[in-house]
Amino acid sequence: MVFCGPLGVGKTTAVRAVSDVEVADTDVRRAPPRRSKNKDGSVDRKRTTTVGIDYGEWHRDDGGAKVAVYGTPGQVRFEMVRSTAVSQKLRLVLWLFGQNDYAIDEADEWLRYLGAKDKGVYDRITVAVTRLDEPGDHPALEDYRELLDRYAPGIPLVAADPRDRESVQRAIDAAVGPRVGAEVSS
Amino acid sequence: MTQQHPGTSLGSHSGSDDAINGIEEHIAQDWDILSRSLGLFVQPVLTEFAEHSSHIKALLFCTSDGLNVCTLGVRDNDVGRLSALTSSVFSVAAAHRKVMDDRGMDNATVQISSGDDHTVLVAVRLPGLGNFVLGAYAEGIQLGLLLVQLRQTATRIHERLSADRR
Ligand SMILES: Nc1nc2c(ncn2[C@@H]2O[C@H](COP(=O)(O)OP(=O)(O)OP(=O)(O)O)[C@@H](O)[C@H]2O)c(=O)[nH]1
Ligand SMILES: [Mg+2]
Repeated sequence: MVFCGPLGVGKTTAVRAVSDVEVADTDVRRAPPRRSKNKDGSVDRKRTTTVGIDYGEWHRDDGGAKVAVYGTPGQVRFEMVRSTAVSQKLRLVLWLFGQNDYAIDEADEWLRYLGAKDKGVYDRITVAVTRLDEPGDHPALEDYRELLDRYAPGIPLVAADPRDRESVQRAIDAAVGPRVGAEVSS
Repeated sequence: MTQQHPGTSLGSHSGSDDAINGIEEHIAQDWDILSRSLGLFVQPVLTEFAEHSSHIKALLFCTSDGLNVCTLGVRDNDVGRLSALTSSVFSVAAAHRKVMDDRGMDNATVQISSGDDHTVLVAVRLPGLGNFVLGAYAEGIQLGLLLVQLRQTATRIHERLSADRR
């Protein structure tokens, strides 16, 4: 299972939340200074970032298989690391920020980018939208469906919180399950 | 940068990042100022090292999160991805080491060698500025010698910045 998505969405957080083994993470402190603004205008307080690859394992209690979980870097310049992971024919979870008014456009950018080299990605991908509980004028989970269907029918879509183990498990379950139907779950 | 991104830069909503080596625009503005001034300090140290050793083919100094500060002998088009990969390689090596032994990467080095060609990366911690990686690519030299020289170069960078602050 490979986690992709923008800087700071919570990929490393999700790997840590779900892993039953000590996570091998490759987070480093970000370069100073930290006066930068995020693109939504808020102050960028993120102190660390993934520059290599995170590795964790979820050992299912139901006696099912172990799931190896890889977290990729979100920043553009780590394209080579990310594409190595994405090209491994593994299932993918695309984590997205849900709280911004441009969230659907961002989802579109990421979907287009991830499938640019291999359209088969759309048969392996699940979309997990975070921060939908935050106030403001942002799309609801259902609003992503039309976009997803333009890429492939039945891309699983979930609302998820990377900090919450069960929530991450549900996202993984959606991603490993059989690809039938296109219902929205949360 | 040689990498191609479809559409706009990912995770950055406006503008193109092509001019700034794949750095998100909102970070790049800030980073530009710091890297320029830091680069001015570090570049002469790299130049001096390269002038004293004909084996050195390329030198690179970047942040531990893969932002370029300065380089020598690296093609313009390769600077961005080489800096990013340098931080990736170093961080993955650190994670590898941590599984074996939890002592961290202070003073640790990462080497990639093929015959007499070596790439060596060393961590450089600059108090108040952050963590950096100094990398050298050299041909026809003994690994041990290159390591010593690279460590000396790291020390020189450290001293030059400390001297400036006094
Ligand atoms: N409010 C809120 N915060 C969250 C949520 N999910 C994650 N976070 C926080 O957002 C931050 C995410 O950081 P990381 O997990 O390092 O992000 P990342 O996606 O790995 O980022 P890069 O590796 O830099 O690309 C952490 O501080 C989390 O606690 C969420 O659903 N709501
Ligand atoms: Mg991360």
